Amino acid sequence: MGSTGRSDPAAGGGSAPADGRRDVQRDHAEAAGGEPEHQLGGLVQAWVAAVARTGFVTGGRVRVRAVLEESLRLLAAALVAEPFDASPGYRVGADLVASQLSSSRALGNTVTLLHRQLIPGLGIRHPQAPARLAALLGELAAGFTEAMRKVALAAAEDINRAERTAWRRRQNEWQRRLQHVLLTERLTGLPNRARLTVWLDEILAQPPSCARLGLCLVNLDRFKAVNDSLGHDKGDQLLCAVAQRLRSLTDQGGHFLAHLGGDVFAVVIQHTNGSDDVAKFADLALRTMREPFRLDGHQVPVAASAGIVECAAADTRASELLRAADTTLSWAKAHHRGHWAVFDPQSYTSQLHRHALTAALPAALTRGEFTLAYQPLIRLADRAIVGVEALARWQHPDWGTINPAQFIPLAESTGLIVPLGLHLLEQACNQAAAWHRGGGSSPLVSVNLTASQLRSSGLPAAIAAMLNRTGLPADKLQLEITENAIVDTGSTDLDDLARSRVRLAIDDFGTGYSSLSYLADLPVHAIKLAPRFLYGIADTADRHSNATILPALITLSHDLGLTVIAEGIETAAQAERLTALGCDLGQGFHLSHPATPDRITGLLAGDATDEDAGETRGP
Amino acid sequence: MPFSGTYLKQYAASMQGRGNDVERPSWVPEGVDITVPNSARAYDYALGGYHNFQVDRDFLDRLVQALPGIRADAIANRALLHRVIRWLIGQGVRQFLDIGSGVPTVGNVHEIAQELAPESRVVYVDIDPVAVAHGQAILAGNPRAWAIEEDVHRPADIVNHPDVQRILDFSEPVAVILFLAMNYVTDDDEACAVMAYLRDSLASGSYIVLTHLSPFPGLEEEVEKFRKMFDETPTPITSRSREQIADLLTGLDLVEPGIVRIADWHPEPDDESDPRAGAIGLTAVARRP
Repeated sequence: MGSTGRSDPAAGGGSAPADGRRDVQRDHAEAAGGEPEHQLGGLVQAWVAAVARTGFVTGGRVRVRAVLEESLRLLAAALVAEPFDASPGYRVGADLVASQLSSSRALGNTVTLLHRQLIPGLGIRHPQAPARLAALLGELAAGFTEAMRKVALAAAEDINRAERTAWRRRQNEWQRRLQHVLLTERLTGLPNRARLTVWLDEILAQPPSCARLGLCLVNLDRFKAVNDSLGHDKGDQLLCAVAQRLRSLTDQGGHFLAHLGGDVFAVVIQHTNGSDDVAKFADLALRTMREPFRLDGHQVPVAASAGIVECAAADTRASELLRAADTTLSWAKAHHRGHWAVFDPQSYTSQLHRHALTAALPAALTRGEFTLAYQPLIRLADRAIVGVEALARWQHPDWGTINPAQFIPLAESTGLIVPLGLHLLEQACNQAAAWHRGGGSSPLVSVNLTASQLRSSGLPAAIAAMLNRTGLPADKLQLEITENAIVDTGSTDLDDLARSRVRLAIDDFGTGYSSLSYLADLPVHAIKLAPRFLYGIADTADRHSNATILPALITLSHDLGLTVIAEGIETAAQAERLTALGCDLGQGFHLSHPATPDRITGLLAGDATDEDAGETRGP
Repeated sequence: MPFSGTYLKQYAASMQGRGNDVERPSWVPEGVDITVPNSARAYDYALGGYHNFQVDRDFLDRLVQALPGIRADAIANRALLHRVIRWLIGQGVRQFLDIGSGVPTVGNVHEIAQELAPESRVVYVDIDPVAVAHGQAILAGNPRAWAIEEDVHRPADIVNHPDVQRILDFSEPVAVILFLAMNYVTDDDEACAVMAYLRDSLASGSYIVLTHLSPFPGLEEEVEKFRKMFDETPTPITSRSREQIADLLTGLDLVEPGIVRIADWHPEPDDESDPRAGAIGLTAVARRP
C-alpha cells in the first residue's frame, strides 16, 4: 500500500521523486548533521509507546518498531530535502493504517508526538522545518484517512459479500432439505414416488450403462385389517418394520428402495437379464415378509403380493414402468394373493382398453350410442316366437359394436349401470309396447338386471312409471336376475317387483351359490338354465350327469309352476332333446340369432326364418 | 421411532436442527440473523476490524461500559494468540484447529503460522455463518487453510468434518486453539466432555490452548455484568475459576507457566504490558502426553 499523494496541492512542496532507502539515510545524515542513531532510536521508542496499545498489530512490537522507524526516516529526510516535498507524510499515514495502527487514537497520538518531538528529538536546525513539519503532518493525516477509508470500504464490501454468501448457503441448504422432505416418505424416511420417478428417469436417460432393469412393487395383503384391528400407530410401526426388512434386502443387493405411500413399496433392480432376476428378488422379499412381525408383543403375520416389470431401459419412461407395475400388482392381488406376478403385455393392453372404454362410457350414454338387439325366445313345442331377450349393444363411432360382456362390468364398477340400465329398459319397453300395439300375440321382452341395479333404490317405482309411460302391459316385461344378485338383494324388493305383475326369471340358473330351497319361496316365474346344462344332454352315455340332472330340473320347475327356458341352444340335437324333455322355451343360435327390432317385427309377421339374417356379431 | 435402520438414523441426524431451536420445525435452517449481536463480529470490532454490523458495534459499546478494559483485553488476547502460535511453531507443531476463530480479519493464525512455516495447515471453526463465509473468501487460494461452520458444543462434528479431515492429519500433532471458546459451553459436565473428546482425538505431542473468562479478584462484579450481557446473544457465556479451568485440562500436561493471566504467558521481553490488559481471563497451554 502507500499512495504518494505527490500531486496533492496540500503537499505545498515541489515534485521531487520519491525517496529510496539510500536517499533517506543520506538525507537523514545531513539533517541530523551526523548525529548518532540513538537520537532516532529514542524517538522510535517514544512513538511505539504512544501507539502500541491503541490497537492490535500482527507481529507485535517488533513489527511496530520496524514500521515506525522506517516512517521516522522518511519524515526526517523530507524535512530537509530540497526542494521540499510533503508527500512522504502521506505515505507514512497510509503505512500506519497498512500496519493495523489504524485507530483514531493512533493518529492523534502520532500527530501530537511528532509535532512536539520530531524537530528537537532529531536536532534538526533547518529554518523551514516547523512549516514543513506542519505540511508533512497534514499529509500524514490525509494519507491515514484515505487509507482508512479504503480499508473500511473494502471491509464493508467483504462483510456484505460474506453475509450474502452465508445467506445464499442457508437458502440452498433450506432448499436441499425441503427437496429432501418433498422426495421422502414421511413415515419411513424412504424415497417416495416422486423421488423414485425422478431417479428412474435419470437412470433411463442413460441406458448404455444399464441396458435392462426391473421394477418390483411389493404390497402387503390385508394391511387395512391390521390398521383396523390394531390401530394406526401399530399399522405405522408395521410399515416401518416392513421397510426395514426390505431395506436390508435392497442394501445387500444394491437395489433402490422406495416407499410409494400406504403399504406399497418399490424396488428397482438394475442390470437385469430378464424377469427371472426380478422374480428372484420378489421371491426373497415375499418370503422375508412371511416371518411374523413383532409389534409390542403382538405377533403379526404379514403376507405380501408383488408385481414385476422387467424391460429394456431404452425408450422406457418411468411413468410407464410404474403404471405397468401397478397393473401387474393389481393382477397379482386379484389372482395370486401372496405371490408375485410378472407383467404381461397382452393383459396390460386389454386393461388399457378397459380403461379407455370406461372413460368413454358417460359420453356414450348421453350420445345415445347404446342400442338393443333382440334374440327370440322360441316356444319349443311349436317353434313360435313368444318373446325376445333384449341384448345391449354399444355402437361406438370408432370401435364399432361392443358387446355387453365388455362394457356392462365397467358400467357396474363405475356406478353408471343404474342410469344405463334404466335407459336400456325404457328402450326395450318402448319397443315391446310398439309390438304390442301392432296386435296379435305380441312377444314378451326379457331384460337383464344387474345386482347393483336391483339394489338401487326406487327400482320398482321406476319400472311402474316406465310401464305406465310406454303403455306396455306388466306381464309383457320379464326381468332376468342372476342367482347371486338375488342372494345379494333383499326379497322385499323382489316382492315389490313381483306385485307389479312384472315377470321375474332367474338367469344362469344353477351356476351361482344359491340352493334349490329358495325356488319355492321367491316370487319368480321362470328359470333360465345355464348353457352348461346342455352339454352332453344329447349323448346317450349314462355317465353324462346333465342327462340326469336336466330332466329332473325341468320336472321340478314345472312342479313349482315355473317356466323353463334353455339358452345357448346351438345344435338341432339339443333342441330336439329339450323339446322331448318338455322344456318350455329355447334360445340360441340354432333357433335364431339376435336381430334388429325391424327384423324381429318381420319374423313376428311370419317372414321365413333366415338363420343368417341375424345381427352381425360384435367384436 | 421403532425404525432404527442406518438410513433413518442418518436421515434423523440430517433433520436435526441446531441445539436450542425448540419452536422451529427441525428441518428449517437458521437464517443469518444480523439483527442480534454476534460475539465473533463484536470481537472483530474490538480489535479494530470493520467486518461487523451496527448491532455488533452497539453491543461492544455496551460491553465497554460494563467492563472498560475490554478492548485492551481483546487486544491482549489476540497478542497472546500470536505469541502462542510462534511458540507452537517453535515446538514443531504445523497443524492448527482454531475453534471459535471469529472473523478472520485482524492477525490470522494461518498468516503467522504460514509465514514462519509455510507448510502449516490451519482450519478455522466458527458458528457464525458470516464469519465462515468471509473466512472462506479470504482462504479461497490457500490449499492448506479453510474455514468451516461448526459448533464448539459438537466436537465430534468438528473433528470428523470432511474439510477438517482433508486438511489436518490427526495422527500427527495438532494444536487446538480455544480462545474464549469454552466460555460458550456453559454446562461444566458438557465442557469437560468437549475437552475430553478433543483431547482423545489428538495424537501425543498435540496441544490444547485455552483462554477463558475468569472472575479476577476485584473484578468479579464487572465480569458478572459482562457475562450477563451475552445472555441476549445467540451464544451466552459463562466464566470459570482457575480450578474449573484446570478440570477442563484433565489428562493434559500444563506447559510452564501453567494457568496464568493472559498477559503473563511468555510475554515479549520488552513489552511493557498494560497493567490491566488481559485481566478478564486466564490462559493455559497444555500438551497431550
